[in-house]
Amino acid sequence: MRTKWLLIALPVLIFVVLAQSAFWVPSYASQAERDPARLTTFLRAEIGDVKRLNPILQMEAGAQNVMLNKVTETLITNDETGKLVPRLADRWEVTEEAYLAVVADRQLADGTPVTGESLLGALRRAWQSAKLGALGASIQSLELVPGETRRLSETVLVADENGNKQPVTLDLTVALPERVKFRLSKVETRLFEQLGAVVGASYFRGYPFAERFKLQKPELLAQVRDRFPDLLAVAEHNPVITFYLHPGVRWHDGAPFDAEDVKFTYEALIDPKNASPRSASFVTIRSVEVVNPLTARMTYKRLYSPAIIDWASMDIIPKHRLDVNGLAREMDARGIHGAEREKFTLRDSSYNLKPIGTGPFRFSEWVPDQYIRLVRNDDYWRRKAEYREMYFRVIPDYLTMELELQSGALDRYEAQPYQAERYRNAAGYQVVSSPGGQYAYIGYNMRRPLFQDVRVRRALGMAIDVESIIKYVLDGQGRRSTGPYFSSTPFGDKSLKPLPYDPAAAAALLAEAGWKKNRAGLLEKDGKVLQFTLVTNNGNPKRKAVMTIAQEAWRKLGIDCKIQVFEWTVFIGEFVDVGNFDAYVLGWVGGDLDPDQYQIWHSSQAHRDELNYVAYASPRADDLILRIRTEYDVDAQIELTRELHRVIAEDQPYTFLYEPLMAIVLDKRIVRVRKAADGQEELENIREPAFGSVDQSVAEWRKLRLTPRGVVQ
Amino acid sequence: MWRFVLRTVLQRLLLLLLISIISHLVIHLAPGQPSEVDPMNPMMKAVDIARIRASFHLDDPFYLQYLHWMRDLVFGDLKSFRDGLPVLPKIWDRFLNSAPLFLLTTLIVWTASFPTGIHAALRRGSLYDRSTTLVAYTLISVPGFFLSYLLILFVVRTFHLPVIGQHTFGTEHAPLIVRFMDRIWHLAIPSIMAALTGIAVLSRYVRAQMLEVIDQDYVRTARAKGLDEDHVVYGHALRNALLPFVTMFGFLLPGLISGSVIFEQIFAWPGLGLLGYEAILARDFPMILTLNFMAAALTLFGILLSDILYAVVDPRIRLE
Amino acid sequence: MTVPATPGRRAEAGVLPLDGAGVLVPAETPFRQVWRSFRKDRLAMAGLVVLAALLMLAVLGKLFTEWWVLFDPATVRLPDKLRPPFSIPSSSIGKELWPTLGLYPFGTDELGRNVFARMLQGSFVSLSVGVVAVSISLIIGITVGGVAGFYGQRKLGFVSVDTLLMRVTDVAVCFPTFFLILTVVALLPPNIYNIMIVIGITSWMGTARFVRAEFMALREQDFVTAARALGLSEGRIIFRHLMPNAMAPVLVSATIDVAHAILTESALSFLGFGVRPPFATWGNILADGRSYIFDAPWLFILPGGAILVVVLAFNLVGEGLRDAMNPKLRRRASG
Repeated sequence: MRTKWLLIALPVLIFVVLAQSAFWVPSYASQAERDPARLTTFLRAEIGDVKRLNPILQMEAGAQNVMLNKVTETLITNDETGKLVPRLADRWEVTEEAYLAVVADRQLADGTPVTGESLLGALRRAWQSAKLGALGASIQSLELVPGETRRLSETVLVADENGNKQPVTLDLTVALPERVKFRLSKVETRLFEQLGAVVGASYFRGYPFAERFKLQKPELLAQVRDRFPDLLAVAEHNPVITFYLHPGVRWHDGAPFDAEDVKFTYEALIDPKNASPRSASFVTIRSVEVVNPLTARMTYKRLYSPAIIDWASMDIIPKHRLDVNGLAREMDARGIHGAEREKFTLRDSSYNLKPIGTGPFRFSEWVPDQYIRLVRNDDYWRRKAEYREMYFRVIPDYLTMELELQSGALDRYEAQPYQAERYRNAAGYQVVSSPGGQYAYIGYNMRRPLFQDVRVRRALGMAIDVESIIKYVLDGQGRRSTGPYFSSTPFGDKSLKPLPYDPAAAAALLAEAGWKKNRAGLLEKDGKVLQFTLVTNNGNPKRKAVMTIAQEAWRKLGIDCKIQVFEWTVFIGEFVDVGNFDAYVLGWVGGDLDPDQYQIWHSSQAHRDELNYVAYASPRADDLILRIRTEYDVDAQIELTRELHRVIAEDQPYTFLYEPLMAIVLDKRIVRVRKAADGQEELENIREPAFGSVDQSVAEWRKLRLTPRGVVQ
Repeated sequence: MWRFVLRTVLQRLLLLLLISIISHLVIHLAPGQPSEVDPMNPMMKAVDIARIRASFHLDDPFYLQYLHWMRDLVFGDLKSFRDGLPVLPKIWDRFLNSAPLFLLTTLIVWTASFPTGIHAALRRGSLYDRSTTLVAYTLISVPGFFLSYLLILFVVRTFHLPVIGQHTFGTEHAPLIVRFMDRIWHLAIPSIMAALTGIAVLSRYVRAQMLEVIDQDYVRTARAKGLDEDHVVYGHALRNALLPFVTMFGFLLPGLISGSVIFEQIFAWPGLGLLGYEAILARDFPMILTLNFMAAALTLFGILLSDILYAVVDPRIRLE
Repeated sequence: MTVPATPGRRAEAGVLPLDGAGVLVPAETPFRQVWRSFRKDRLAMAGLVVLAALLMLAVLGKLFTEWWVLFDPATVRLPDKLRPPFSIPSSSIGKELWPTLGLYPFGTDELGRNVFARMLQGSFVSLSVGVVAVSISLIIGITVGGVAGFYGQRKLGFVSVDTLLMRVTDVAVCFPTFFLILTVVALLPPNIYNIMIVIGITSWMGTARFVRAEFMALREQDFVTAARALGLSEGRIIFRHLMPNAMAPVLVSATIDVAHAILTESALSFLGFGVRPPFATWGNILADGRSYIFDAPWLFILPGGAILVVVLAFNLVGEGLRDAMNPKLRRRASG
């Protein structure tokens, strides 16, 4: 009967076809034989997809992995020791311009009334008589600038009828007084303090700001009043950074790269239409001038020492694609007309999906949630990359990554500690650990009376065996964290001892704070049991482990700690960000070069949508934070950061846990190719850099056909 | 008949509208922000967040948000919160990825179930029947991802063959035949895994249907006429047993969107299920709502289709 | 339950009236008939035994892990992490942290917690997720189906109650269930009750349809008409006469739904939306254990196997009940 045989034959046939396909698939061992191009293809895994590939519109690590110094490039960058080195800019210098307003109804230190001429004269005399000491050496010139009227616009938040805060742009004019202008060869943080001897210490106090401002909407005076001193500084520092660019660099589409692109990158960053999440780092810039096609000069509104570091992570974007004309050309090409044109901004540009840059790899293709493909830029202005192609595969699961690595469909992935452990001695693989630039902590909400007592916070921290967590949960792949600065940077105080693990002492501290065990074995004070909820986000096994371990450790002390896990957006949006929590487990990522801790620790940053989640408020810390931001002298700054590190460690607003090391598992056939000046090649295994991530040298990596033996280890 | 179709279609459209409103309600009453509004971003100021909220209408009243969504969906310029890309082309792309997996899974289910089910029915009570029964129940009862991981692990550990994704990365320059077979291989494992439950369920149905008809008078008559057993079974019994299966085709449709979240997640298969899952994780409201809407539409269409199919194949049924 | 003294004769006696196609009054209650038929189904019986064991395990689990902590699922012993089943605690573990029995019957997890204790604790949670979810779906389903079936003809304005309720059911059916569950669970505060409720309110439609059909058929039958003529209250008619008769298909589908709910929970856990700590369920032990599949396969295989066995038991019992309650099949099976 035909039907019968058909019914049986059909499934059998399907299975045979499916099964035989296995013989065609390249396995780990046979990948190079099936396809020699496999050796020049680099496959790496990302845990999640990126949103946009525009350096000014994204902050995520994933997008930076793709773009930063691969497709696009920065003006300057950090080398493998953490030092700033040239990239697109051959060199740079940091100088200063400073202004001192002529306050007409004051007197100088010697009693003469202040006029423009008398002030300039007094200052010039002090400078020439070497009364100013070292400061005098950095002053290059002094001159008087006449007063002028400036138009400004400021964005302020105004509550609408529903109580939601909406941004409102406010136009205002300021009548600038006559001012003395200083040119300085380097930034002098204490310039005006030192000038006090000349102009009198009270010169800088009580300036009548209100009469110099005119608001377009006077009813908003209250919202903008406290910005007046910023907008019209009586004594104003204007640091200047000048970048000298490398000549002859070209964008991937052949257009020349020049200082206009640098200027445009700044303009795009602060353009409110672009809503760049990175704008906050660049709003302190007053202007960027193109001195000549290879020189860009940036003038800052005030002292802001992290400025140069901000440029080390800011890729330059092409003006010819993204400025008004570039966007207009794009709209023409895409047939966008009428009202749509008005709404079209850089955020809508196709650049964000297919960017170009000046880097060693050209962007080729992006298939969302699957992969991004880069190909080698054969016209690169520096040493060309070894790989011809690079894939960023999106694999949202570490087990899947490991399976792909074992089957040869992946060359590199960032492994979980227990996975990395297995590959450390495995024949075909190499494991490189590098500091991940992150730390994990337990934060205590200091709005709650319970956590306002430093003894309670210390006791909670002392109950947790962080060394064991590092040893067993991280499999040793972590360093102890003692405070807000990373151990890989000079900013933290390395002599500081971490909080000891000592449950007995913790119990004693709690007893000292008035918490006594009740009959049920729980700690109690004034009839209230010591209980709180510890929360964290879902999907991070390490945090979940810390949470469980902490709960268990505190339970032994007699603390009733409940634990809860929430979805990331809920966790942040409904709990952490609005201060609606007792304690939480979280981490901070990045900023390892940035000494600035304003957003996380300054007491003014404890509101909704700000980052001082735990509402830490310490006058000492506040003062140090502000001084760090304005200190340009590296050594002096490090003194300050170390003190801040100690102050925060003393207060224990967080229990600082660990800085996890990033363990990267690589196919052992991948080596780094060092090229000597004479073209001689030397191969070596991939090694951990002293600073930053191992991926910085990826352009020098090459995959060999066989696992190398005689390579420099 | 046409009046019936018209009336049902109108009714269903009304239902669809209702469903879309309810799904809006569900989503907007729940906590959580679209991920674009990312307070973890240390550089993000309150001003920036407010600006982004405004540009996505997140602070508008519910009905306005709904109308915005409806209008954008109809005119095809609905954009994802996540990356600002239009939603519909994205769904289409993912649909193209899901479709082969869905088709192959369906093909395997429907071809494998009939011989197993018929055989079991014909040997009712035999060892074969009892063991397939047990196997079928086991397959229905096993968590899909549990079995899949065991299989993946076996394949990867034993043969070092890649099984994740749509193709093996790094074979882009290999000969055409290698790339083609590679795709087939990557299709094979997930669709077999996804088909297992289907085979178990459907073969049980086939068995039950065959048992139902095999004792009917016309089958007995056919046998009495002296026709050989195969002819009786495959010619007479099977043809009548097939009737109810026709309607099941209609119910397959919604499986295209929602059926495969788990398998697409395991095999990192960039299909519609994974798209929906990612949208949920990112609180990408336009995407979630549109997918939900389409799934509901497919379900409704599937029901309609099976009603019509049934009327077409079974003359006893009239559409009124 | 009294065990029949002479099963053989009882069985014979049972066959007779049925073979007489309902002419004779059955010699035993319907429950006994079902049980007698069910008992012959060896797979279903095996399932029943497993379920009974599970029920005991769940109760014991609750007892021994929470009230009288014989097996502590919470104790963290980091140096003893990922130990295989039946291993003995290492020397670095203080005596006060030793597990009961002096060994880890199912090994330990990534924090050195006793997997046996966690599974024991999880058995209660997993089972209650299934049972509570199905109870919710039954309550909604029976109410909707019952009202539509019994009061269906009444008018509310221009639509009948039946039309209204069935359209509501249609709407509910059209939601893509798993996707909906996923969305809601992801958006709601993640606690175990929400998961129970969400699974419950997305799975009542089948029950509602069964009950409605059954009620509509029964409503027109003579015994209901007689009951009405006798002046019995509606409540009495519904609960004494209609409900028991409509229960058979509901019971079958409820049993299978429990299996389904347990599977749904494990699938949710796998996607990261399942029951969150501090609750341990088999689903989330399995989902967490997946990461350690190379290092500690038992963390994956034990809970996976447990889910398989329990869900299989529910399915087999459900199918066994269905067969036993279906008079047509029963006749065939015994004939």
